[in-house]
Amino acid sequence: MSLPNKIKDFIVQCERALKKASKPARNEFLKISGICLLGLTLLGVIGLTIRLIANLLSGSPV
Amino acid sequence: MDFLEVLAKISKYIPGVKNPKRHVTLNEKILWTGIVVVIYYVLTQVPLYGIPKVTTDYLAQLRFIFAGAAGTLLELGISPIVTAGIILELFVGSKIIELDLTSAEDRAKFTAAQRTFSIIMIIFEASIYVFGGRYGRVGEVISLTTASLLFFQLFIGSYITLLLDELTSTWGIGSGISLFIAAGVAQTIFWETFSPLKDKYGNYIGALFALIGSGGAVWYREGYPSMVGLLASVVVFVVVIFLQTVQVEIPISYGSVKGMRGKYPISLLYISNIPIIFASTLFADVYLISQMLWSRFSTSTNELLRRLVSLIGTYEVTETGRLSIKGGLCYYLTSPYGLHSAMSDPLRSIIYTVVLIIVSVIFGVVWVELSGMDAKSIAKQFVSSGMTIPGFRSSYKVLEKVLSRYIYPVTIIGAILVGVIAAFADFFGSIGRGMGILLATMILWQFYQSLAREQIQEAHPLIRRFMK
Repeated sequence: MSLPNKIKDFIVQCERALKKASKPARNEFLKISGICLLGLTLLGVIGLTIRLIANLLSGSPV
Repeated sequence: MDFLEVLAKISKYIPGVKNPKRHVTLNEKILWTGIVVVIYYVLTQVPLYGIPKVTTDYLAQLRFIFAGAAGTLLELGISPIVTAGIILELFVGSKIIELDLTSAEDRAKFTAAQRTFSIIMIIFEASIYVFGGRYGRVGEVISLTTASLLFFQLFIGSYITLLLDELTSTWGIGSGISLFIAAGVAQTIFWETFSPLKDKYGNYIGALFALIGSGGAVWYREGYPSMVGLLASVVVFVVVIFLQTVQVEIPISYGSVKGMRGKYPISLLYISNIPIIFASTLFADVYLISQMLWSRFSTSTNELLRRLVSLIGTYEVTETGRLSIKGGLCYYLTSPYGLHSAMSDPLRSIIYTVVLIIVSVIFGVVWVELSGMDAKSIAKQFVSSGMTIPGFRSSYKVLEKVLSRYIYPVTIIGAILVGVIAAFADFFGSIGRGMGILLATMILWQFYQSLAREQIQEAHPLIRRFMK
């Protein structure tokens, strides 16, 4: 099979895979986003607090 | 006794974290994970004793992957542990070391060997850092005693990181390595958004305080975190979570249980953030080597050598003594960061994006083959666990053909998407860098799945016994 045909064939496969792909339900997506955002916020707040304390103790931005 | 067995035997003599003898409740796991996070953050604020004031952070470009913090006990971050893991996994994946990771005994041997190899990598990297001149030439800028003291501090910091990783994976949730990466990116995002402090030029570090301080005028600042960057970070976060939940579901049935049907989900981001980790590591390494070559040979008397070094990358020394890229091949391998620098040289932005996508696709396809995620390996797993695809014969040749129609397109689509997201996030000056947010979001997604699994096991002891 020539290269252009291989590329055409591959594009068809990509289209088929994307057509078959299922999107998440709205509330599932919102739930997951919320939980991941909560995780990021928890880590971020702890990290910000410790870094602020360290900065104030050392007196120079680290 | 082969190389791996020697490493595994040595591992017994390295103090580590004991496996729990009883069931660890979900609350205990959350507590231990929280303790690990706090210890990690505190260690990133403990400065190394004995280092000169101004030094260049060689890992700056890779900090969001290797975590840790420059000039502190965690200078090396997770780099030794990750490097040791990748090397051993490549040895096993490419059959240089014969090991069957599906058998529990071999898996235990691999894990033990990986511990010892991590210690070796810690010693190796700490030596390169200290005696390679990271803190100044030994014998000129720092004495041999100070150098040895620095080596010892780096070793202790990295060894504690290894223990924290073990503590997380045995008593906590998920993997410590991922936790440190996500923690590093999360701290960067919150620090660059909410830090009320000012830098030595009198500018607010936090984007929110810069906006408030300017009476709502300053939405964008070149070279500083900005609210536009924060919005870009939020967009990346949402897009990645959406793409992570888009799946191609292949119907499957169980030969031994008549009428039992299920679905085998292949996520659109099938290879997750692997391509981006390898692509950014490759770019950063080339950038690092180019910096060293330019520092060493840019004023050389040898014309040819000077031209060659300049072809790879030319730099300009900034006021703070850092090297800023000005031209050469490396100019197109480093991401323009921020709207102004992205739009002031569109050719660079386009070339950088195209190169990043191509490298991402290559690494994605290679990783699928090497890590046993390819169609043939999945087909073998199907056949060995008695699963098949309705309407097709249950031979792994046939299953491989059907699976490859989805696995390879999804691998390449995923690698392209991840490359585009990372590039555009940097162009908008996203806080936490595009690749960092990609990594953190995917890691948090994996933590969410681990947490959900733990909750199910907590609520249903029968399922827990089945999954053990």
